Amino acid sequence: MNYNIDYKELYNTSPYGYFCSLPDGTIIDSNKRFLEFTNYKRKEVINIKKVTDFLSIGGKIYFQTIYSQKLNLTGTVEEINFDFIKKDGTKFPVLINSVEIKSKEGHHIFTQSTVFNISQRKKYETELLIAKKKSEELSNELTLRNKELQIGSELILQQKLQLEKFNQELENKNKQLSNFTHIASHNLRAPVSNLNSLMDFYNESTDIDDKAMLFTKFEIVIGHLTETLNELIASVKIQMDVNIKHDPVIFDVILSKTMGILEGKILESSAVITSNFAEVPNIEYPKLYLESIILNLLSNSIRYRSPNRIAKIHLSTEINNNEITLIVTDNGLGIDLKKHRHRLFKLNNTFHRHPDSKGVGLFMTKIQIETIGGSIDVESEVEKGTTFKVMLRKI
Amino acid sequence: MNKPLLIGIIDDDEIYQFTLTRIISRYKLANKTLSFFDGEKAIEYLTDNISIEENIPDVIFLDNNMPIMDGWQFIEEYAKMETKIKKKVLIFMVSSSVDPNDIERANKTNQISDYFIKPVSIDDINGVFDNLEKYI
Repeated sequence: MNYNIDYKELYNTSPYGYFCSLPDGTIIDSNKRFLEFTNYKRKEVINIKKVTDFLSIGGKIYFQTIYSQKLNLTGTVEEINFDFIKKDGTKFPVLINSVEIKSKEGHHIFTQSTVFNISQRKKYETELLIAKKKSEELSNELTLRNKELQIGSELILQQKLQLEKFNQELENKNKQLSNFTHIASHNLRAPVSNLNSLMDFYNESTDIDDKAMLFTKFEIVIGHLTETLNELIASVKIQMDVNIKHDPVIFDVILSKTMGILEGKILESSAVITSNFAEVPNIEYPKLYLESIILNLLSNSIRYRSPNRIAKIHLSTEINNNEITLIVTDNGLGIDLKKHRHRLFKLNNTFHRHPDSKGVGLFMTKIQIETIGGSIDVESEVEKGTTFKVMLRKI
Repeated sequence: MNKPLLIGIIDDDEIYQFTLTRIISRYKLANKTLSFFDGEKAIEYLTDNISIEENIPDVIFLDNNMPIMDGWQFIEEYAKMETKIKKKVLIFMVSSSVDPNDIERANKTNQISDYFIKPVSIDDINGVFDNLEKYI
């Protein structure tokens, strides 16, 4: 095969512009592509224009100080970026590569330059820059939205917690109400029905001694009825105290006061009472309630101590999941929780044959605790002891 | 069933004990009544007298709400000793609870013959004794 390659044609149609210039910059030859780039006719350029004629003032300064200097020093210049001015005055960006062509003696005869039109590349570059800016804006926007979402989700979480709190309060109120209904129906119906029966006997009886005896029974029932009513009124009063004032109280101070009140019983029982409130030394809580809660739990522990060992009672506080808990532990008789848990905090329920057991203390204690939004739990083992855990409030 | 000889009342309410005892003696519904102020005392008595048939009550009026051991807990303990008791004891639960759960539970419990809501009138008591056959 014989290929006749037309180098002239290749030179003219290459995507690069080519030109040759004299050391003073005068262009002495160029390919067609260069003329197309600049929109000049051949005769308007060759031997007429200098390279610098295609440059702006800034471009000329750069050409003389950087481009020419580098070309003189090293003989080549690669990929210098200029804006070339077309015949109609518009500009297009180019990269120029130049090589000095020297004589055998080393004199600079002319310069060969390639001109690569980078309009398209510049356009891409600009587009990329715009895209980059846009993406930065988007990312900023996203960060902002993210922040807003975070604030939103925190708000929702707060509302959720608030709702949960309301729900809990409602649940407590419901429980209290159902308790109250139960107590009212149970603890009031019994004495009233007793009064009715006694009344029937009394009316039927003709014997004076019998009537007198029946009258003493009336007194007993009326006494029970009054007591139950007073207890109910006390519990209702507590439950109405939703907005009762919270005072700053110190556990140690309350305990000292309570031990003062119980001094006689403590001495009589030789109970050993210890405490450690280091984890939570104080709390905002209705002072009277806290006094009454500690008084009840402490006197219970003393009352139900085991006759087989010295009573040891320990009080402490701790924080669990943002909840302040008061713990009262004793080594007393204990309660069979399998049998009695469901009745432990009910009115007039007792589990020990003890003359002072009336079944009011724990009932009132529970109402006081729940009114403030807390809860009470118990762990116990018969003949080992009992631990009451009172979740007083959330922080 | 003939009129019972012995009736047990298990109730912590002393006045109720008094009124029910009085009704029983007045209408001669039984020869004797036994009073227990909580379930545990009654179980202790039954345990001690388990083999003495005449000391086992024919009918028991059982309160469901009592300290120490309530009516349900009494039934639980009673069920354990039931086979050792040679006589059919009719147990009536008497309660001031109108809770439908309690009533349903009583109906489902074999040991309980019937459930009464306090106050129990003289007519109620008489009704029980006139129809004792129906509960056996």
